[in-house]
Amino acid sequence: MPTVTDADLPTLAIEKPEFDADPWPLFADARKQHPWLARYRDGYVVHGYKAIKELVVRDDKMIPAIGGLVEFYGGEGTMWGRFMKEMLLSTPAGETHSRIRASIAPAFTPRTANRFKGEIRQVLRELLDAWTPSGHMDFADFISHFPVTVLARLLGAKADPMAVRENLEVQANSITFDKSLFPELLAGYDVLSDFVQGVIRDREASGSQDDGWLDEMIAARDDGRIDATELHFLLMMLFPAGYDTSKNMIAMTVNTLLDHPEHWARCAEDRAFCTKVIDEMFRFAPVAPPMRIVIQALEYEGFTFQPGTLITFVPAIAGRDPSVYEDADRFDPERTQSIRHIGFGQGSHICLGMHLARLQIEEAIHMCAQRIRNPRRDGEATWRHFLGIWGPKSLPIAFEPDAERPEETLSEKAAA
Amino acid sequence: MAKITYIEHDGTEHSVEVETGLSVMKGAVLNSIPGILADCGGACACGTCRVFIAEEWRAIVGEPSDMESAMLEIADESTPGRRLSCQIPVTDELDGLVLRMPEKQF
Repeated sequence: MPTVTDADLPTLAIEKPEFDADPWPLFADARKQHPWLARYRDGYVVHGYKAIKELVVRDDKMIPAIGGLVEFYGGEGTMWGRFMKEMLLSTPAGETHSRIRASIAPAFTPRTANRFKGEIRQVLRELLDAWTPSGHMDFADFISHFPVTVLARLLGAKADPMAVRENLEVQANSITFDKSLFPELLAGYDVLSDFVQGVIRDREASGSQDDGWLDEMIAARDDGRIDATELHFLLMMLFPAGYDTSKNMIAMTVNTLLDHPEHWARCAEDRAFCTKVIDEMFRFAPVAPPMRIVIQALEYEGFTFQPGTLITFVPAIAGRDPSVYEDADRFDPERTQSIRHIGFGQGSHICLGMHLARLQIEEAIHMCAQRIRNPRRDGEATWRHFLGIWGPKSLPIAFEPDAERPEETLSEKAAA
Repeated sequence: MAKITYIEHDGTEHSVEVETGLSVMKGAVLNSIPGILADCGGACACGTCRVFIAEEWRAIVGEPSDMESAMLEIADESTPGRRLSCQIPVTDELDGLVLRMPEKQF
């Protein structure tokens, strides 16, 4: 079987900014040469729906690629390097990965997420109160305050999470392979590490809050299912894992709905419709591309990928795969063709926080649609790197501010 | 082996023989039966392999664990007999099992 290096494949300059703003026409061209695979500067990109579903679960042949950033930045021997290599996102499928995931799984169920709905809405309420009166904002900047504040509240953090937020922006840039960032990455590790240590220390001092969340994770440490370092890294990981992904997905949704004002208006009125919108968004423009390193020769559809090869999977392109989705470039929350998106990944590495993420994203769209009326573009959007956690870097909008509906508040109070 | 009948939401029936030791979810996936997605591959993490166990089989199949019950709250469904099919191991006792699938898993 020929190695993939000899194959006649399109080569994509994905590192160039034109991919960040509108990658789909460029991949549509590549698809004419090969239906699911392309070469790029750092390795191979798999963009076909069927190929992603079948390949991304091959844990016997591939491991997560995040740890590879440590070698690039020369971070071996640092705590940042250890965190990047040992956190759950980097842990290969197997006994350790299963043990850590299983030990904290009860904290990440739909039931736990649903219990946090009131807190999620309260954070949104406070942010919307502060940001909407002027009638214009950079929506990407606004929403960047949301998931990090929710996480900090859910963890009972006493320290201001905004220092963590700035640090997460730096960490997000590590994917740009800019070696000058290394000192900032190391300093950022210390900020996040100190924040998390404070969270654990405070909860140990106060005792259990019966929150089914941090208590669950501390209990996992106390009864030996995970060790102290694993708990520390887990809590640290929640921030990069739950920050860019959720906020960028919300900003991506708003960017899409700016071109569909009828859907935006309906999101304000109809909470169930928000679920449909987000399901469609996870097909139409999901933001997270899983990356893997091949560790044993991987054969698929006539190609052999040799050990050491980097493979990036792009659900954002798979969601537009014309061999799977009819009229794939049309955004339609009422789409009847029910083929499940792959925006949260597949298999053993599927997003641990997906139920909390979904709830946050749907609630954000529902409440923002109520408070941000008639939004329209107020300048050109700028974009994050397509192969990082993608999405609008800035999204200037103008709008008519609206007050929260009293009945919403009342029904929530009644429910509480 | 156990014969399991999976019934789609529209009533289409699929009766297949499933090896004991596998999960009811795996039996559907290996036989390409539509209606069970199993995004996480059987880790009780995604909630996309929900099924409704036929009434006469509920006592034999048993009740969901706390973790499974927490995951089943992914959908606002009141249909009785709900289980995650990845959490039901196929045994000889389940020969003849009948279950239905929801209209949507997500």
